[in-house]
Amino acid sequence: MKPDEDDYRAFVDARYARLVRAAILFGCGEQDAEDAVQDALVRCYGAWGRVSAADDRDAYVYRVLVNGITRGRRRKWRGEIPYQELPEPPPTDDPAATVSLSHSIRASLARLGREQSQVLVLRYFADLTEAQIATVLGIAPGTVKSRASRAIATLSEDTSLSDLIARTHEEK
Amino acid sequence: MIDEREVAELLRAATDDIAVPVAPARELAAAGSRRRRRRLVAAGLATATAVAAVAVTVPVALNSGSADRSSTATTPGASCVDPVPSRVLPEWARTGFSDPHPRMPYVLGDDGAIAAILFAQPLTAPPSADHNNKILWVSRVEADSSLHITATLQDGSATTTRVVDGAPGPSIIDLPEPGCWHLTLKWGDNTDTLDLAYLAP
Repeated sequence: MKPDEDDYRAFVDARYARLVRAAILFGCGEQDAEDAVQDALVRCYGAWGRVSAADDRDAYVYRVLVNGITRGRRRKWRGEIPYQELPEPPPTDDPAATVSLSHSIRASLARLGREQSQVLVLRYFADLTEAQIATVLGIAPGTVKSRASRAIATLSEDTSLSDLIARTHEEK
Repeated sequence: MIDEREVAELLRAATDDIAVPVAPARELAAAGSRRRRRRLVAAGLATATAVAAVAVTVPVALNSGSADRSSTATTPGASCVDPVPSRVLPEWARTGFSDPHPRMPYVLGDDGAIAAILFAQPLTAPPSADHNNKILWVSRVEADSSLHITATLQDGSATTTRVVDGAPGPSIIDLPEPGCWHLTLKWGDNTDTLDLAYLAP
């Protein structure tokens, strides 16, 4: 079935930014996130007829994206360069050096581990249903529910987030 | 205990400061279409290839004692050359060079409309610690439109896009993985294609 290009392009225009941000929440750097999303969307093009007919395009695209990121991590593990000493900047009192809100939240998310953070991002950022997430990750819906609730419990105990939650409320 | 609404707010706040460029929908559709065509062709040729492999293997096995090894050497891609040889630049690509006949490693577009002048070799993915993937893009015709690059790995397994803002000019083009990359270049009303090899550092 030949893909409907207008439909595909409309989907890409509408979802691209959210997909890139989701990839960043999955742990990619900004450039890698764009690469991963573009790669996923190119792969989806060939199956667009089937994807559209199934009427579950978001779940399909997220599945391709998650699989691509996982595959990329396996392939690139040798690209990491170990340092004897971490190249961290010296401590400073400059308030401008305060860690940003977004980086703090992403750090908390990373501490959850891949399985729990994937479920949180797909459920509460990508707005997928538990059934869709089960399809995306290839796990049972009950596992989705339990991973989400364990992740929320862990975040609740993360003291660095208490202040951040207050700040997000203030900024609204 | 934080609630689900707060989790959603935190996740939104975690990416609020990230500026995502405009979606390259047209380029992705074009890359997806090329990938689809290649896969269809590959599927159609699979049987013929298997038959051809048998046809080639039998005589090669029979003549293995006198086989010429150079004829079986493989390269990353038919038109991916590494290292790119240094040659005198085309006249239209010499602006800014003090030497009237500058010799630089460069790759000419397949239609001759653009030159990619390499300031460091080899190009590497991921980027090497000791040099950048600096490429100077020179358009044959005067151009004041951004250069849009769609790069596809030769086997079609990865595609990515890059933009050189303003017009073809100096750039750092990092690509996600090593291999022979086919670049489709668009700037203003002009298009061209060329291949670049990126090696593992």
